[in-house]
Amino acid sequence: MKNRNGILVQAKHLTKHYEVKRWMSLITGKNIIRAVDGLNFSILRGETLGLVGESGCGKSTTGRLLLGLEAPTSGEIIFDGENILHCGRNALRQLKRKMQVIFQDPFSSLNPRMKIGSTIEWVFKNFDLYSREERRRRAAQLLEMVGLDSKSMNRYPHEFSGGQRQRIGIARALALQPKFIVADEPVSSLDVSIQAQILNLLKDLQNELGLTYLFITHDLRIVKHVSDRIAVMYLGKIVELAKSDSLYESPKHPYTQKLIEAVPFPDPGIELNRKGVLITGELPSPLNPPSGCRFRTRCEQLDPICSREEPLLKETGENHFVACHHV
Amino acid sequence: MERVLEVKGLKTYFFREGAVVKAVDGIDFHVDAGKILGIVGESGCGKSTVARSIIRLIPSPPGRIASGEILFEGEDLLKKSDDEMKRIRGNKISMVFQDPVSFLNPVYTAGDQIREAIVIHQKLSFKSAWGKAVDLLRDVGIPSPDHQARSYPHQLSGGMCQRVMIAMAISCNPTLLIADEPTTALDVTIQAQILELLKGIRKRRSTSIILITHDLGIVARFCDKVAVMYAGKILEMADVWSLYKNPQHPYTQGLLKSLPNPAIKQERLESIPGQPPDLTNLSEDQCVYLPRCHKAIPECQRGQPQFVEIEPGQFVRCFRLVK
Repeated sequence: MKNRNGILVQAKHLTKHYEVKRWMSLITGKNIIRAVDGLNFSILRGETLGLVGESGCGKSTTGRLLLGLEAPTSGEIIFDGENILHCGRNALRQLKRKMQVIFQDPFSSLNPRMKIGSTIEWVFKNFDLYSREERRRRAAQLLEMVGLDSKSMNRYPHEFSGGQRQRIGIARALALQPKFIVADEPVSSLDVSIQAQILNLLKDLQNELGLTYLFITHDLRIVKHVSDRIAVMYLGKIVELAKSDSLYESPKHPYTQKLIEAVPFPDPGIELNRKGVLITGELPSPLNPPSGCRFRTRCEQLDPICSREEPLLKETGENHFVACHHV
Repeated sequence: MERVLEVKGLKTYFFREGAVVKAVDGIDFHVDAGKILGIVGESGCGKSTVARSIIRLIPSPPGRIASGEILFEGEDLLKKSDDEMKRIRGNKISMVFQDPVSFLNPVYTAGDQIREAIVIHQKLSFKSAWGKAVDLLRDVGIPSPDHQARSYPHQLSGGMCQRVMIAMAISCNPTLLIADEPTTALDVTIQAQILELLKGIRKRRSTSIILITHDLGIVARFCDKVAVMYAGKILEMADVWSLYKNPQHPYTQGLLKSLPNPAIKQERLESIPGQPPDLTNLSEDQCVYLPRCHKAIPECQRGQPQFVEIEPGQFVRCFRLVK
């Protein structure tokens, strides 16, 4: 079962700005995309933190930053007590064994010219682990763990369906017995009946192996199901962070409220009673985010302070953080 | 109630390298005037082929509508000549596609593309057609339509492009609008806006709509009636309330249980074992859903069940429910 003792991953003032090509900045007049802008959060051992938001809000970038796949512009990342930005190359390599990733697209994330047995064995080879026979044995074991036949070792990715490939991706992520897994939209490209199979598998593995997940998704129905806590992102900022039940029962930030209102539930009874208050307008460009509160251009409860001052993430209830001037 | 569209025993097959893909295999349904029918199913179940069959946009070869009738306002569309079809398509029946950005022509402005549809089907001059295009853009909620009509598709966001497509689709006041996954490529906040827009169009112009989607949530929000497709067949069809409150077919039950419902606390989702079948080698002499069904009875191996009405308005294709 889940044992909760302390923080596994912590992000402090995590920021990632991308510079835009010169010719682009000539057109737009701006040259920095603020993909991730000052995130503070922590992930507890054995929990699932859901990260939701619309496309372009910086949720995938956050995942890549935590894994050390990209260097942040500023800020700190503490993984298992060590600052991954200040440890040496070798130490970082060893740290990376403890964190893995599951990608969205099960088609492009596997090498089409490699048998899936070798794909998984490569993970061991990369760290010079085990003898050849032992690698094979472990690869077979991993495939069985994710519900595939170990005979499928000798087959190529194109022989598998999307759901099966996603299982292979999960087996590969588990190979080095990681503590922390970033799942970046792991079920978005799968059909509903297969989605449920993969979500159940991820939950079983978490209970069995005591994994910690950062679950990145745009689907608010799924994130509620899998997460213990949920962080809602908007234009590179976390606007609300809370336990998943309390986020759904009493969303505080106007964006979260509207977002939950926008999601269609598979239940005509609930749908009939919708108030039908829709979020208006579209996501502003991260090249030129609104001053002050970034949500103000789509918000109804507008005050002068909203355009002047940026709201900070404040604790409003037990473990419920909101960044809004009105709360 | 008046039936705008009635499809009877439609079979659309694709012939490829000696194999036959039965993408649509004997389906019956009808759409009432001013109502919204949802067709749901997983990828590859044939739901888009149904839409393309109705407006006769099946590429041939390899595809062919093998048999059936598609009665639109009482006339069989399958008996129409190509010229007659051209006058119906985009005029009385129009379609909205999934990927608006690639559907629009990148070298023409949004206004030009809407105007083209108007000029073809209505006897209007270019100038007054432009005015109408701008009005339509205003109708579908595009801010400053005068200006945006002169924009090219790449200057518009995905949601805006979808609005342009919808403006084009409703430009000739169609009786039937077919929307094939109109919001799949869009963010959830924009999706809600587009669905609201389509609902408004139904209300103002009493257009009938067929909405094709894989999302049971969208169906619950938007549709009056729903047909659940699987492997080229409709397994269950009913009004939205009965289908969600009292699903009869094991597949419908499985789909609803495998979807996380935020309103209920679920520890585990009940998934459907296995995966959708390959349409090329489907066995004719057993129920298509048998390999994944947990409620199978011996009869299921002995042929295809019939599509029967078990309650008024609720049709199911399952041996267990037929007395």
